[in-house]
Amino acid sequence: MKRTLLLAGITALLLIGGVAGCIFVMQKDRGAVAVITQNGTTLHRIDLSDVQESYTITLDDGDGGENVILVEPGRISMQHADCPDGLCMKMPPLPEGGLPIVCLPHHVIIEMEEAASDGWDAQVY
Amino acid sequence: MRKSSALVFVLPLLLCGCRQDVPASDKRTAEMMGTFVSVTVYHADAAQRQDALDAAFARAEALEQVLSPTIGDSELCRLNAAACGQPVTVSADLAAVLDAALFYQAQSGGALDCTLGGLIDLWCIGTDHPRVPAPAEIAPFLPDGSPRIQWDGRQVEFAEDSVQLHFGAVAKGYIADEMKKTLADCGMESALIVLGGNVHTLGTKPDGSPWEIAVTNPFTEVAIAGSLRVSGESVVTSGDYERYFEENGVRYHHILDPADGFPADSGLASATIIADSSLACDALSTAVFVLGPEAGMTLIESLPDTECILIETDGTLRLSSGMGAYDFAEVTP
Repeated sequence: MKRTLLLAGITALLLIGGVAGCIFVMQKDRGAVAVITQNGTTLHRIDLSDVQESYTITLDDGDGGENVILVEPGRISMQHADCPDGLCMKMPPLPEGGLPIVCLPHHVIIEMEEAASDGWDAQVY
Repeated sequence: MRKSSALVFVLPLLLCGCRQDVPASDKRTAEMMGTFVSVTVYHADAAQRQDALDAAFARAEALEQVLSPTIGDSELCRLNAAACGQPVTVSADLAAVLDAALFYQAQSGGALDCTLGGLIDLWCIGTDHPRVPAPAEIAPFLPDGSPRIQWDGRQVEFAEDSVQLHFGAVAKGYIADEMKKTLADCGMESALIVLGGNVHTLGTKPDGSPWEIAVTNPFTEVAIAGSLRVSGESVVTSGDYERYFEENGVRYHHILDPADGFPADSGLASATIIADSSLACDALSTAVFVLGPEAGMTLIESLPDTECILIETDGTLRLSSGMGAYDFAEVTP
């Protein structure tokens, strides 16, 4: 009896631990990964939820065109670009902005890998 | 061992089988038509997903060579250089787009006009050198009620040298429709296409639920005006915030009114259209924006299986009578 109760208790602990672990893993924000591509090539995949300190990434399009991307805890944005229209610098940071940050002259796209955890699959604009 | 004791060991094993399955998918992004295209397909077979994406993007690239106003040797550019005073035979794709553009031009009473490429070039909105043309510069490009092209379904001829065809209001919609068709022909049943802010859907999400689409708040691009649910339909928005420049404190956006050649000032900040065809949504979003809230809503209500969300410049939101089918939920700031 005592042995059965002991085994049952250990099994229950393992079960609870396993279920809790699954819940923790599945609830990890899948919408926190930002992807940076240039000329169709993925250059960086950054889990913004793992960023502890801000830093920048500088891209060169090979023709002297430069983009500086600011990566902060939980967000990413275009800090500087020497493209003619500068539209990419006016776009709101991700993920809260919702829209991909695009620098067409330098062929740079910053977008979230998964849809925002707010629940929608795409945004029209 | 008692049955109850055995259950203590069996139950965890049963629960080990419970896990959240993530539908298999692939996403591809490319730069095209002066914007970017993103397609996500859901299908169990990885090779089939890649084949479908390959085919859809190949189709889009081929259409870009037909419809682009900026690729020098596109069919459209060659047509614009050759069709004044002589008939030019066009491809099946260009014919389909021209047919559709002229149909919606007629439906909208001329609010949509695909012959104003010269006027668009005059403004240069969206380039690094936009300008406000003088009225005297604009006047030659404005329609005067007489036919500006001759079109027999196969050959087109321009009536005057101010005519330049431009499919900015319909090309992305046509391309999205063709990409969707290609994906379906390749066996896909669930896909999401985002082409320069236009959304098109194939089927439902893999779990059978509709796609949740957010509509941009035209007054601040960070905020959302609302969301809706679609299953196979397209959603397209035209707004005064998408492409513009400012001069002397005045904003000049890219949706020109054929009546006077200036950016439309109809009382609308955005017009969002929902229909099966992305080309229809694309064309109607522009036409309705130019028409304004009253005439625009009248046009949409006259068309079958077509709905709209109109946001006026004072923030008033109007929904067409059939929007209930899409579970639109307004988001108030």
